[in-house]
Amino acid sequence: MKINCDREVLTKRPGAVIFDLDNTLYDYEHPHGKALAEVRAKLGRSAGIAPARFDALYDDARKSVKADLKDNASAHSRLLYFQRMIELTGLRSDVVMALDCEQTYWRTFLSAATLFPDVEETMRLIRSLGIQMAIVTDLTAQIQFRKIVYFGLESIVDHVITSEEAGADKPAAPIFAIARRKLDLKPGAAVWMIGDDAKKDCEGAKAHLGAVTFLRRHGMAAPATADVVFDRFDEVKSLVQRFAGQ
Amino acid sequence: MTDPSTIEEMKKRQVPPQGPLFGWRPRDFSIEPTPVFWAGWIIRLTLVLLFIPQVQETLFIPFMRETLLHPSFDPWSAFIAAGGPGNAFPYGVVMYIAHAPSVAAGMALDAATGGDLFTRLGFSASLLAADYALFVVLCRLFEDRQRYVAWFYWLSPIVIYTTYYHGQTDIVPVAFLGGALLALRHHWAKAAGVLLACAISAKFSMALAAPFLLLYAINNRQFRPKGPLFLLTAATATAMLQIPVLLSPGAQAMIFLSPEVDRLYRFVLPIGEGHQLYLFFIGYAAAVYAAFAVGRINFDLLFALLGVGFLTVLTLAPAAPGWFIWSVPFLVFYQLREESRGRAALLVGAYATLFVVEQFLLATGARAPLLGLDLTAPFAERLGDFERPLSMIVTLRTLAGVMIAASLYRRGVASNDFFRLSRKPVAIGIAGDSGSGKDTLARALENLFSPNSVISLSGDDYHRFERGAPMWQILTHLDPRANDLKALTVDVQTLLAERAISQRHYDHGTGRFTPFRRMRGNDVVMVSGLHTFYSTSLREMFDATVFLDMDDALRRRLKIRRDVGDRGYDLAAVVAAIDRRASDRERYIQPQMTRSDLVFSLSPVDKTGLDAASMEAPGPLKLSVRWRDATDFADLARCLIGLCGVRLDQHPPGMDGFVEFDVEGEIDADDIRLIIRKLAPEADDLLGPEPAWENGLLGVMQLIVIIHLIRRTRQRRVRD
Repeated sequence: MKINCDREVLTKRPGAVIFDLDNTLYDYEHPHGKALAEVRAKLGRSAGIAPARFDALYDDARKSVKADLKDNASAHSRLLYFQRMIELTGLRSDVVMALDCEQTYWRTFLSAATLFPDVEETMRLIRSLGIQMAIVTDLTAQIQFRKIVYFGLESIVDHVITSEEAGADKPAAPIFAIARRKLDLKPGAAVWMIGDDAKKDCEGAKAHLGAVTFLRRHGMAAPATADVVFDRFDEVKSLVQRFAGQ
Repeated sequence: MTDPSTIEEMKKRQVPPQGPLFGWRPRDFSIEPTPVFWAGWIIRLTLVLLFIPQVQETLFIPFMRETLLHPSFDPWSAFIAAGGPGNAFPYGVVMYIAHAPSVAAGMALDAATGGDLFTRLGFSASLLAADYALFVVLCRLFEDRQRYVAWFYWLSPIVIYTTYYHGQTDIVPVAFLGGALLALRHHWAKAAGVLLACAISAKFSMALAAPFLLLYAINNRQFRPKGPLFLLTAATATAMLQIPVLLSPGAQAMIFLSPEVDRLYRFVLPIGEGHQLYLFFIGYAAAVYAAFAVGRINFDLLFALLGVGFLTVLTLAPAAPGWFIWSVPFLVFYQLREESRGRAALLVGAYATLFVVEQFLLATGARAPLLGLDLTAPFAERLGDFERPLSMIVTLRTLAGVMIAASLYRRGVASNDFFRLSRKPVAIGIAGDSGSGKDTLARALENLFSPNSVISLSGDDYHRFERGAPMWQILTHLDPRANDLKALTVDVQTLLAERAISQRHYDHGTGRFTPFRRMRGNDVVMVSGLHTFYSTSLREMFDATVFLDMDDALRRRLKIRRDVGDRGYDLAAVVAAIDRRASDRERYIQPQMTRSDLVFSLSPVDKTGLDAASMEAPGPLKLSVRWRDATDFADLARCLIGLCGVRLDQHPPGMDGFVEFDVEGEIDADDIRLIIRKLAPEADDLLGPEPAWENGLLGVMQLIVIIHLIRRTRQRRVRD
């Protein structure tokens, strides 16, 4: 763990702790890889799309949807990616195939996703200390809620705010404004933001909430833009533990 | 969130699910670089650089060097013929192949530089590779406990002392055995067989593990279908890898006549007249028998049993230092699984410390030329009369070993969730009126278990009379007197005792009974019928009791569809029979509902316009569930709503201990699979390797029955 801020800041009990979801609380890339491989295999069988072509099509479709929707939650929608991808193959909008691909993707994704060690324990500790918690995440509400239920976090966190609800992805202001409102944060109240993206999570929360920012680094040297850079959640847990006696 | 941004990134990350190494990606071979990880490497590399173990310097390395300089198909005999010591390399062909490339590379470097350092480092490199491989295997076996594995394995004094100071090479066969266990866990039967054969070839003592793996292959419900393939591969590969040994008198002398083998005969119990009992063989046979006697084995149990087996060997023979490495994976398992991890770590820590002290005193050590030290002679030789303290250390180490083995056995065997369940077959009872869907549910449940592991009894087979018999003019099928319930009870009892029954089958096509046939007890006994819970003695035999009810109009329609459409009966006769049975249904069938743990009731979502006489399939259905002591309801509801997107309405709770709720919606079998993995991971031990979950409400019924069965098992475990 690397602390870039004044250590004094970390001794002040936060009024709320905000978490990002994907790749912060669980490893995104492993389930994503498995899920995409499953869809690739499925389309190979059912539509005769070769793996290399699938990769190219998926990438084109994703870029095309993102170009259309920009920083909107739907810009991450796998359903739209698969719909666009199938259209690119010349099959027009085969909605059944798009739905099938999307469902295969998310089912495989969820079955391969596991929380990082100590995430649940850390969150339960925060809850036991009476500190509010929210998950502030990009992507559409439907799938993010499914993930939260799958991980069993819905009874631990107080609020979930998605970019679909806010109309724009992080680091834009609206999603943080909704978080402030739902958490009923008073001006000057200390907030911790824990995420994996220096720009979206840390810079966004710093700018709009004045948060103390925690960056989970992906096993590599992280830029010193966050107040705290950590590798494992037990490090965060030990910081929170200090508030136990207060 | 970091989204994949380029196709190159995606390609880097993704490999096909079944690649050359079972879909493993490079990251699966890597380990989180924690301080413990680096500490383990630093300790190992320091020891490798500083110490030259005596056994390597005098035995293994000269053997490898000589035989690589003068290659032969029989390196063992050639080495002995050249005057080398007869105990230089008591290992098989796989051990030789494991060390040969790195030693050969070291020799080439030494030839170029004129020293002898690199040959030794080459030998250490293959040990480090095997050590790291075993570390990766253990991390993959205990995926969620990787950090503890680093502490318990990577910093294990037993591995570090024995491999890098004392110099033994047992880490190689143990890495192969670990690989075989990982392959078994993933049901890679062929890989498991080959890896086991490699372990045995590397060091013949690994054959001690074979009976346990064999019993697992036979007795594990999920692995059983692949059991023959595993056994065949293991046997063939073992035979092939042992051929060089069988053709080499030198290898046979080194392996089978080595001083290590003599150790097995060292602990004896005199029984008079010059005869004695060899305790090692009695202890080992007892451990194998314990594995045989527990019957069905799940993976954790296999680990515990292997641990007990190896610890027994270490206790009942004056074990050589290398033997202790055999037990290390199981000591790791013990520390991970014990409830009080601290206490377990303390016990294993004491065991390992006593082991290292004991071996420092008794076994040969190493030279450290850079430090100017020669520690090759056992320390005890320098201490003079040290017999009693030494014996005390051995006694305490043995005591710690026995305590660990006892705990492993207790936790692994006695406390194993499914051990109690698996000692006898699982019994599932299904009752309900004719046409309520009993057979459909029974078949759906049957498809969840391993093929051929379910024996199904149908209440219809116990009708007293064939079709057309005069008694049917007085009695309906719903009257208990028309059915031989006593015979059904005795048959279920017999099957649950895993004995065979003779039974006849009622053929709905002809209305006649088939000749008697013999059926044997199996993993699961499933009974469906009109009166399954009518008598208390029969009902109490089931682990799960399921009653199927159905909306009246829907039941009439489905029964007509089945009896007229599938069974070819006359429509008017079917309708007349339904009406004639109504009072018996109320009197004999429906009361069984209150005696069941689970009541499933199907009804149409839209009841209007449901024409009972229509042969068309009804519209969307909803499932009403009554569930006794449904402690898992909240979790189930959370998953059904959150993951499957179904509509779920809970009824206000009553005082009868039942939870009641309705479910409707489109549910996919894959979602059900996801939920069971989440809510009841133990189901893996109960179900077949590829359970066929159904789509729709039938899948929800399967899910609830299995969750209920698992909860009953947990309760039984606490009660017993």
